[in-house]
Amino acid sequence: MSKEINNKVTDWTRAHAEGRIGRRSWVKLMLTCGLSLPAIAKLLQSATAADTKGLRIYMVPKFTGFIFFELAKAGGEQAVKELGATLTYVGTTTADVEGQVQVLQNLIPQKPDGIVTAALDINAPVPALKQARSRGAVVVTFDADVAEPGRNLFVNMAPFEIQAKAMLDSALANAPDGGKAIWVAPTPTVANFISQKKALDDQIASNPKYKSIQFVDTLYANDDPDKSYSVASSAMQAYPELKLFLSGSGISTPAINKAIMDTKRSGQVFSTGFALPSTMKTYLDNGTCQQFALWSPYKFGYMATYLAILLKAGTVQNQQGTEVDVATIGKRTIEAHSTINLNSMLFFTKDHPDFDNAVPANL
Amino acid sequence: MNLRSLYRNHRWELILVGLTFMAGAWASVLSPFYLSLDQILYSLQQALAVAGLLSAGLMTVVLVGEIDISVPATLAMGTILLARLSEMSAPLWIALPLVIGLGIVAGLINGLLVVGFGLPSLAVTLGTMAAYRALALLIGGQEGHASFDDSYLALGSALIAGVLPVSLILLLIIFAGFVWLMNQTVFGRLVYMVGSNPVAMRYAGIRVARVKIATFAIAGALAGLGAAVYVGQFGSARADNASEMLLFVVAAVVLGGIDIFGGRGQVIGVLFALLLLGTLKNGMGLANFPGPVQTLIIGALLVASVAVPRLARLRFRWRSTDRGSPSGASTG
Repeated sequence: MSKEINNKVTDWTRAHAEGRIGRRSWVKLMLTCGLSLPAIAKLLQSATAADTKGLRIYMVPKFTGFIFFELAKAGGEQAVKELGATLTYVGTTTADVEGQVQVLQNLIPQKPDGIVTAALDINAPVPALKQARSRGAVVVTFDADVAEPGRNLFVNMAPFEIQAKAMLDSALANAPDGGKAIWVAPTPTVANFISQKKALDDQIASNPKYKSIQFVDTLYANDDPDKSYSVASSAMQAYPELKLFLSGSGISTPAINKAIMDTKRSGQVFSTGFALPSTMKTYLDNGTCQQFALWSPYKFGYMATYLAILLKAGTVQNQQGTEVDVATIGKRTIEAHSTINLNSMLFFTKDHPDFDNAVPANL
Repeated sequence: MNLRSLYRNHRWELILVGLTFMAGAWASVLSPFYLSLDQILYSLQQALAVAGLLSAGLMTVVLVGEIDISVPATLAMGTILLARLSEMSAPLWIALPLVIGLGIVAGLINGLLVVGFGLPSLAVTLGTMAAYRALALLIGGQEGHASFDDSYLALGSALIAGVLPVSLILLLIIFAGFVWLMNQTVFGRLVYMVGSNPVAMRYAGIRVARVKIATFAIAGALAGLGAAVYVGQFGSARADNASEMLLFVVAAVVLGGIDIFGGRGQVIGVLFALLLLGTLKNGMGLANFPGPVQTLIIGALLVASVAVPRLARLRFRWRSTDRGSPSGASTG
């Protein structure tokens, strides 16, 4: 190969890696340079591998020391290991909005290739993230998003429809005949919980599988264990026929299980929905709860980090409709507003009580 | 003022300056990204612009021997008010006095409760802290507000010549004002005197109550001003704004050498303490220290700043008694 052609190949390959020309036109250009198809394939593979090598990714959780984010970190570490990048995990010890912004701000001079973060405030980190992006960082949010100008991509846990199905399947695993149910949310205004409840209502109305479940009330427990315990205790007296509590709050679900256990109603009333497995072991063991659900924080961190690396390397185009094959997770499609769904719900039962042995839900 | 008297009168402040330079040197060893003017200025702005204003206010209250832990909550009420005013397209020249006015009212309520009913300020401001946050929550709701008119953002985000944050200049001006207020005016002298011996002051015919209430109002006013800087810096107003800022603010005041029982300490010391804390945070952040380690170091510094002068004083007293002199209580 002459030097001139060699240079062209290098330039165009870089242009392709940076997303300036598409895969198809790049292949055409390579063919015009006289490369054979196997040679092109090899070049593509090595270019991909080289582009992700040594990329510096920073993961900023909502706060450190919480099992959910420690598992997300482990997932992120697996992703950088596979792709030859590096991961630095930094954050504050408490849910401190200004502190998180300072952590992000301190990343800017380090010119990160990628920032993977779960934001404490939808707006406050945006100025810092914008600055990081203007210096070449790809920003991927997971679990909790920021306003769109602050990030390239948001990895959502699952569409609300899937979340609702996971909760309803868990409800039926506890109470196969359904029955009267109460929805427990933190406050009337948290957007997530409003959407979850709507999706639950839609599923019950449209899917015959779930029609035996009947919501009779909504209670607010402010993501607080004591409040959850007391509202649930009162509700069980107010509704003697009650069969189920459902909650998307990882704090309310175990607290209500405790209320059920303490009032000796295990087996008559069940509390399920989303919860962290570490908080539920007792109730799975003694049969107060048969099954609950959660998405995998490990895969959450894995997918967000994986996508940050591929976006930076230019091997994935951040466009609506782009299908990405995320290793070990599967094919996922980038949707409107640069959102992509992890869609990986897990079921926890007595025999599968931990993240590493939970049953992947097929919803 | 010669060097000797500078050393004698400002020993603690000089130690802080020395520590700040050491922290800067440490930071530049820890991270190759530290030594750059725009990096340092921007990071100091992030760490200090808001917390510094709150510290100046808390300092004034602590100097009269009281405490006000409600200042971050007052700030949150301020950011929510600014969000509402911006939604109503009120011009900044109306919004700014209003938010400072709100802060003053919040401060006056604190002051009146403390002085009028003779209640302990820690309990009063713990209560008003909760009340002010609840009020912010009622007016602002759970959701954050982010749509501010650009004029509202300037104070907290504008840069002079592309590097120098306006908010840092504002902080320096405020501290210069406080140096003057505390050292050159009758009010300043009254603050120190009330702080060191309120009973004697009352017998001397000084209106202790008025001085104390005024300091709470000043703290409130600065929290209001802090709100205006906050919305510029973060582009966000939420009822839980600055909810984790109290530790840093108290640390700056105590580390700055302000006696927690009132009556003693230099304004400039608080500014230097802010610079020291800001530099440490910046260096540890750039070196990606894990969160718990950072918190531990700041906490240890806070304890040390209280313990070291106390130990020095004990040692001094011990030595004095050794020499047979019983009057060694004051180190000056």
